[in-house]
Amino acid sequence: MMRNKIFFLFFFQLIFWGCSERMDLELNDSYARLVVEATLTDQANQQVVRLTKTAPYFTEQPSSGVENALVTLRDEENAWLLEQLGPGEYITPDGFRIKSGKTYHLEIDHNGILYEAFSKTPAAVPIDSLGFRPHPWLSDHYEMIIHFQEPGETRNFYKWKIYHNEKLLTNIPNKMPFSDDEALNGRYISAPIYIFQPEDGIPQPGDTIRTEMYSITEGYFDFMIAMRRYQGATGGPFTGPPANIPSNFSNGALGFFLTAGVSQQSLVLE
Amino acid sequence: MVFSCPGLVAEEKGRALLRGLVTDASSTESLPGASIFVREAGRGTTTDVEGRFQLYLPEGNHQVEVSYVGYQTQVLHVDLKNQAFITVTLSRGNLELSEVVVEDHRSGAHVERTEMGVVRLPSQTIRQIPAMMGEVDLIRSIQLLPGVQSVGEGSTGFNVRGGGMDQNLILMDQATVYNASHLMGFFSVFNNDVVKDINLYKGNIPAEHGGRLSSLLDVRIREGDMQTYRASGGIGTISSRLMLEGPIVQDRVSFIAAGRRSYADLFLPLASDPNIQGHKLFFYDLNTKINARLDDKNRFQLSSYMGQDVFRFGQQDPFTISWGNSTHSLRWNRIMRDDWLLNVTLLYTGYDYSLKQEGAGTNFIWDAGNKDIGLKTDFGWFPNENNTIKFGFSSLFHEFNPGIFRGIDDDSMYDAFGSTGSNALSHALFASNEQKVNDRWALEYGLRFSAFQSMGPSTVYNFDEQYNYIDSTEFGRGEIYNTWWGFEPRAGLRYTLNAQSSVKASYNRTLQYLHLASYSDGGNPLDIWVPSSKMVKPQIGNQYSVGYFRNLELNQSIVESSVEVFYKSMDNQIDFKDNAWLMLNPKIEGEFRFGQAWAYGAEFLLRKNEGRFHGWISYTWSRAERQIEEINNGNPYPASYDRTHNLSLVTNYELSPRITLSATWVYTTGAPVTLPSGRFEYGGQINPVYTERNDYRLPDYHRLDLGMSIRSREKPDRNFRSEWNISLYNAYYRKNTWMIDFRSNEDQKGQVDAYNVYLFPILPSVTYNFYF
Repeated sequence: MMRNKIFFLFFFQLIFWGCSERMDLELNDSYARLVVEATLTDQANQQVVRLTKTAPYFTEQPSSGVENALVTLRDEENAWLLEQLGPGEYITPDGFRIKSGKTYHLEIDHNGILYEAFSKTPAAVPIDSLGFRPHPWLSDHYEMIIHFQEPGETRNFYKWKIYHNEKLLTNIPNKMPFSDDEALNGRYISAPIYIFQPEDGIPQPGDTIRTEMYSITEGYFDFMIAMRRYQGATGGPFTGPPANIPSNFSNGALGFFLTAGVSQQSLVLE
Repeated sequence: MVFSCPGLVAEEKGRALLRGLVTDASSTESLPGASIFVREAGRGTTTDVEGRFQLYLPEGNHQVEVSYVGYQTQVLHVDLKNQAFITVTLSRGNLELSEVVVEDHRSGAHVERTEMGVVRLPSQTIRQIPAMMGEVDLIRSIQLLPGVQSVGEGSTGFNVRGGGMDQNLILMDQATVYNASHLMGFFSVFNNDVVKDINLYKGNIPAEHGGRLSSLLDVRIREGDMQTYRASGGIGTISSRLMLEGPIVQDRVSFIAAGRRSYADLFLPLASDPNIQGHKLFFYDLNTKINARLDDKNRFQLSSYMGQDVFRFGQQDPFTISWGNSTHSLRWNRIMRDDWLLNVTLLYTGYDYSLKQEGAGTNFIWDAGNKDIGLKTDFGWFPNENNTIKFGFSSLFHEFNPGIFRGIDDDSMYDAFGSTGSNALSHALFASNEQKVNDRWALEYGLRFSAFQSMGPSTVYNFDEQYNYIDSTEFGRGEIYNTWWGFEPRAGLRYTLNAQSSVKASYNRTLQYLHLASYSDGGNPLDIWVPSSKMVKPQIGNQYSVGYFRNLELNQSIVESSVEVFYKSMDNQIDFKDNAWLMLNPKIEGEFRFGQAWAYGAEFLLRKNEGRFHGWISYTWSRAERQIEEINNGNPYPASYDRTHNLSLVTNYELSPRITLSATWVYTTGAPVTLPSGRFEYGGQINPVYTERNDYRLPDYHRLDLGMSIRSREKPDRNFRSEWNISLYNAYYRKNTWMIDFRSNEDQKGQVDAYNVYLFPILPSVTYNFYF
């Protein structure tokens, strides 16, 4: 809750009080690289690995899918070949499920180049209950409170997906709260994780709020931090020089391969 | 007034030493930089920062002219035998005029001085420059000088000759100021009401000072009036100020106290939203100084500064961020018999910040900072008229707290984490001499020996050559576990071509043992200073410069002109690895990457100090580059403060005795910036891909500021005076890019637009000042 909350909320947004207007900017283009989006959990059945390419920064086209790649998923014993579902979409076999504690290996063979990544699946951590209350100092804002026992024996990293009446509010990574357990290790946690903004519609009595808590890897945590850090503004005296968002793939592919244990909890508001 | 060089070498039959102190007649504050001239002997000198001077003359009767711009010149008759001490008091000329006519202490003096790369600004000059939001700021004034630039729009951070912001040594009455900014850098910690004068050394840093590579900004605080009580103050758009001064013991002991507080948040209780009513957002400064002259030969000064910024959100369980400096110095000046001077200074300085969340369960505090306690002693010795020798030592104890995060009480859900910090000792021995060789040649040379010792208690983390963490070592209290040391030679020479022009050259080697860990080049209150260690070597700077100085005449007033060329190389420079984590990170040294940097450039200055119309034009052409193996594929890249062209025009026009108009125009090449060369989609969001560091530039920066100051009519029976200062910042509404923001297009999914984020539209402001 710490690292990201304090640092990002206050030290980048606080100083954002300039005026702005659209500007035209010419940017150089770089060569196209493979981008992999692969988050596999111990929950759902069939899950999708998405392959796209990098594009010029100001392109108006959505990224096109990479076709005819060979996508293989392995654990210590087995191997599964993922079937191509649509352009750039490769689906895990029916009945396949990630197991916590196991290390998985994702291999992508595209145009004769091999890209690979590994992920050791952190176990899901159960959530006891959720709470809902007004934000202490932002008017008309509300907070979601989470109560759970943080496991003491392991280093843990989390991200949360938040739903309001089954509508996903954290629909992009940068809206998703995430945290490590530094300073919290082994504690019983009762803390706010999400702020409901008035413009998204504040949950009313009778509404359901729900969260999915992903146990993520340390590498993915760093990946989330970098995505948030280099989103948006550059060139100001406070932003510092941007750097590329790290990836766990070999051979210069971007994106991330994560296997995660997921727990969930919901609350019907009174 | 211009001196000709001493034409004749006076007869050296009986030689005598004339020493003295020059002070303001009404306040008896000392006047640094006043000129002393003995016409028949063809000898002259200027007072030092304490207002003291010494001059060798033949024995006998002399007419000594003492002058200081804005003051009436005094001529004294001195019958000199062996040795004499005189106190010279100068009266202000026309009071109105002195507020208007602003000088570099004496026009044309720059040709004669040995030092180069040095700029002096009295606080009056600073006051005349149109002020942003009505806040007169000395750092904003020095940014208008050649070789100096601002780190960004509105910022009081500055870069000198291609050096980083953390390579400037900033002293307030001898004590180091570690973070000289308020409100995210928009204002500096210096309250101009108490600033006496400033010296900025861009090169040629005297051997008695060290610890930073690029520059020394030496700020002196006023001493207070020894005869009458005075008050002054001001009400501005951002803050209000009040200053009091006066005698504690007539003619012996004086005090000055000045405070300033910003008050944006005083209006918050008027807000309808009860949550906003509880917010706090302010900064304050408090300067106090006591100056005691025991006799003609002994003087004590106790100078203190305290200041803080506070941001507080919420009323119940508030979240508070605060940071601030405090500096204290106790200085003893003694004039000893036999041509000796002694200065002993005790120093304390500290900077800290804290972030605090109150409330049951989720409360925490995160604090960090650093402290110095030390002693500096230096001697001045004047063995003869051609040599001014200085030597001494300094010793400081440093304490570093890079940051600990912990719960405030037992209910807090947080455990403590962060870094336990370390201590260090730093020492320096120095000696220097200003030597007049003959009429044409003058030399200034010195040597500084500095050492820096890391001291426990501390946990040191060890890394392999790939910066992977291996293990850690514990060191006990007082244990010294690493020492760096080095010699820092400094040298300058002047060759006088004729009475109007001279050529100067200088060489400077500087070492820096403390490094600022900052994500940005603009500074942030949460930046911490990291000491040199086994892994982090001291930064080393070598600067070479050559200059030509000439006084021109224009309508019977002097225009100083100068050209200076410099080259600076810097080793063991620090940058940070990609995605570095610099806060609360005990293994922070593993995030550092090391390399080199260099800068070169040419600086041009035309400055007219006298007359109704005065001001300066400054132009700098320069380059600043860096090369670090792990960054930008090991290729050199422009430093983020690399600005090819930098032009400033500063003008003042005295329309009438009561009205002064001023205008400032600045132009600089846009700052280098890293922009994406591509993008990738992940999780439905667009993320940037970068290739080269700083390969683009922001649009060029330019801005016009206008100011007008209207003074009240002088009434002989009243002491009360007042003035209105009206200023217009960014008068033609240039939308100078502060940063480029990339935002997803709301209508066209998947499309990103670039936005020019600019900070200031036209910013008018009014300040009312009073004096009585």
